[in-house]
Amino acid sequence: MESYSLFEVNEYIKRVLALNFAEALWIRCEIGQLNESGGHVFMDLVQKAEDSDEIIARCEAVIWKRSLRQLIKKHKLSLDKVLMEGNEIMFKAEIDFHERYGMKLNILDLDADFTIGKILVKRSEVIQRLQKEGILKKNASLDLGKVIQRVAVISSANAAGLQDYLKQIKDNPYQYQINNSLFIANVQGDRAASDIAKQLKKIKQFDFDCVIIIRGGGARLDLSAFDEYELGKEIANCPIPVITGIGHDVDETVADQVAHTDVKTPTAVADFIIHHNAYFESSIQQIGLDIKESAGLILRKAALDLQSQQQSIALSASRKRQNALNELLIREEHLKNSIRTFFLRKNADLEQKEMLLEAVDMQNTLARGYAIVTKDGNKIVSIEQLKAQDDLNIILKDGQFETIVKKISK
Amino acid sequence: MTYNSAYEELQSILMELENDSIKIDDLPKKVKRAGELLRFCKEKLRNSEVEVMNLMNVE
Repeated sequence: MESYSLFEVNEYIKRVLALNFAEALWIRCEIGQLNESGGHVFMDLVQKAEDSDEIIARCEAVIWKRSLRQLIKKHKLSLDKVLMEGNEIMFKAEIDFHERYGMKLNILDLDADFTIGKILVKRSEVIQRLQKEGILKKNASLDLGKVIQRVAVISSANAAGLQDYLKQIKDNPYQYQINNSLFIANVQGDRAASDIAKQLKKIKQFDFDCVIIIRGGGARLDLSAFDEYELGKEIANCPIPVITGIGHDVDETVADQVAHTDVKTPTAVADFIIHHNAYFESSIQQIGLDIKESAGLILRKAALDLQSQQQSIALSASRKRQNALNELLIREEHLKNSIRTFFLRKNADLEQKEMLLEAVDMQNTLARGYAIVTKDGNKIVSIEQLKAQDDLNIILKDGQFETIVKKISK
Repeated sequence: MTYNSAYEELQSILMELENDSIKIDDLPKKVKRAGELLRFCKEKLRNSEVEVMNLMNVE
């Protein structure tokens, strides 16, 4: 029978493939495994059945260093997102067959949007599922409480992110003391989603103020775990508010959208907690100031009231005194008038009596034969009042007559 | 003698004079008496007026 050496067979296969696959092809599949070595990227590509995880096709692939450099230049940051185990990718590759190393797909170009698009579609499907279950906003609607003091920290053991968080907390300018409890979990890779979910289940039995999920400082942003439905559901149903600081530039994962609060980095999580507490402290201080001011206002108003009361009293008192004084003055006037009138009457009365008496006296004198001598209406009682030839009036008891002075002698 | 008693006496003498009930012989004595009474009353009244006015002004 005819036999061939392995080399001959492989060489033949190589020629056949080279002939039939002269040009590069665009291929879609899933990254099964991925490693880097010597600057090249080696991958195990798979295709899974429509409705199960059963692998129906498999092939090795490589991105040689030179091609990788070009891809990096073309896709920049997106490349990291694309080249992850578990991602669906679309790439342009040549079929290489080497006698020694077998068949490899030589990847020359990538459609990054294909991969990213798939990620986004998957993410939005998970979000819609959670929304339909009515739990999408459940954790976000929890009340974070006024002060955060007891924190459950989900992180991998020696992550730089954890150190960043702890340092930021420790060095806070307000000297707040935060009680951190560490719950270790993988935060990337295919175990991450279930590890984190398991820790969340444990945590919710205790009385923490919040749960934080942190990761960061890694070379690759493998956020695929945080787009998982199971993890999203666990976060949504968590009775304690969840804060994520898992590091990303633009896109928010399912975990970010479902959590109470999401911030970019572990340091930002620490800042968030510190500022939350600082806000509370300053609002308390403000209340203190408001109380002081209100109390001051009340006191000042009371003092003013008192002062005006005092003035009213003084005014009333003085008015009363003034009225009393006026009354007295009026009484005094009345009294003086009454007295004056009294004396006037009495004097008049006496005067009248005097005149009566004078008249009687005069009548009496005349009756006894005496006469009254008057000159020009005035009574004459002495010869000094007379001179010769004066006209005189003589009054007798029954009448009067006129006469002239004839002679005066002592 | 008080003002009142003097005044009443004066009053009665004057009434007698008006009634013509005084005897001529008594007349001078009565008139003189009336004059005294009158002077007494006037004096008393004047003093009282002065004293009262002083009291009112001191207040």
